[in-house]
Amino acid sequence: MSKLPDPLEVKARLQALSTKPKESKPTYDINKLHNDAMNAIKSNKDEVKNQLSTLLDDNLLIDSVPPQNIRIGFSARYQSVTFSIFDKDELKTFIIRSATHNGEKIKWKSHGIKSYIPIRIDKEDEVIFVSSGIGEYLLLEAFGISYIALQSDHNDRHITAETIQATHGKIIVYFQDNDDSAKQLGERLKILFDKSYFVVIDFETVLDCYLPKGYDLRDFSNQMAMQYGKRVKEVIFQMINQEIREGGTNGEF
Amino acid sequence: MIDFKALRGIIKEKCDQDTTRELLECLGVEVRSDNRFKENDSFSISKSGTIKDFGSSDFNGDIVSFIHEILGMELAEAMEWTARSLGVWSE
Repeated sequence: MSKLPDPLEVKARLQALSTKPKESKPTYDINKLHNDAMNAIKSNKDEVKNQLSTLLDDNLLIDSVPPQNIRIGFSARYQSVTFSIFDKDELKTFIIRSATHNGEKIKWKSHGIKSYIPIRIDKEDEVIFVSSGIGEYLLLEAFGISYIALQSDHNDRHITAETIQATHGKIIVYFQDNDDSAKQLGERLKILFDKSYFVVIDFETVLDCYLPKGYDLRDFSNQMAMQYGKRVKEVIFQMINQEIREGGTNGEF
Repeated sequence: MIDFKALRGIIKEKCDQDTTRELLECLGVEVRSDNRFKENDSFSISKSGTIKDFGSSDFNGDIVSFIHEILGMELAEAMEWTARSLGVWSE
């Protein structure tokens, strides 16, 4: 048992754990959180605008489609922008994007149903975009395209058979973050959407350069916005269409 | 004679989410507050204390299986260490 720690020490640690009073889980009312955020935004519009501009470049929101299923608010407690995700009239998830005091580290605090997957599939659309993350969800909403927006890289198991059915014969474009978790998600999605033409958008391939770990659709869109200004959406979709024509990375029927 | 089957049952019963988390930490596996592994967040601990990998390995099992299959220790050794750590080992 040489490679394992001394079980006597572990036993003592476990005993200490069992005597430690357990913290009671905070209870919250998701509807109250949402209502408070809606009330707080009235007096914090400038701050919200400021924080949103750090999330998405203003050029990305030009001619954007009014969000149907997401409402933006403000958390007075965290002094931060919030997102309420609805499925029709039902509030599913309430998310606070909070920064540490020095503003360096961003945390996403999610309340409600974390497995909920916002989806918009227009029968007329040939292409359905898939991404992971709330910033990316905002982008897909703003672009007014058909999408499946996962809240995290491990939410794919909650994609329903009905959704998969709706994608049969269509093109699925998966925006793959630059990390292993996203690559693994891509492999699973490819199997899940085996009745669709599956295209992976790998940003290192698209931009033909090494990118930092975690680089994602939002980083890519913001980078393109800085480069192309008001033409950003046109340029992004030109690049994506080119990738679709070329099959992206691992594109397969 | 050790009844390994019965012992495995006792271990499973004892290893709830918090205990599994602590055992993993003792083994050098850092676990985040959302019960996902810090280094490889496709691994997570369920409320019942089992460990599941939603990633490539597709691992799903208790702490003993984790030590055996993922850390590469002998099964008997993994059992003994876990049982001793939990204070349920008897010669």
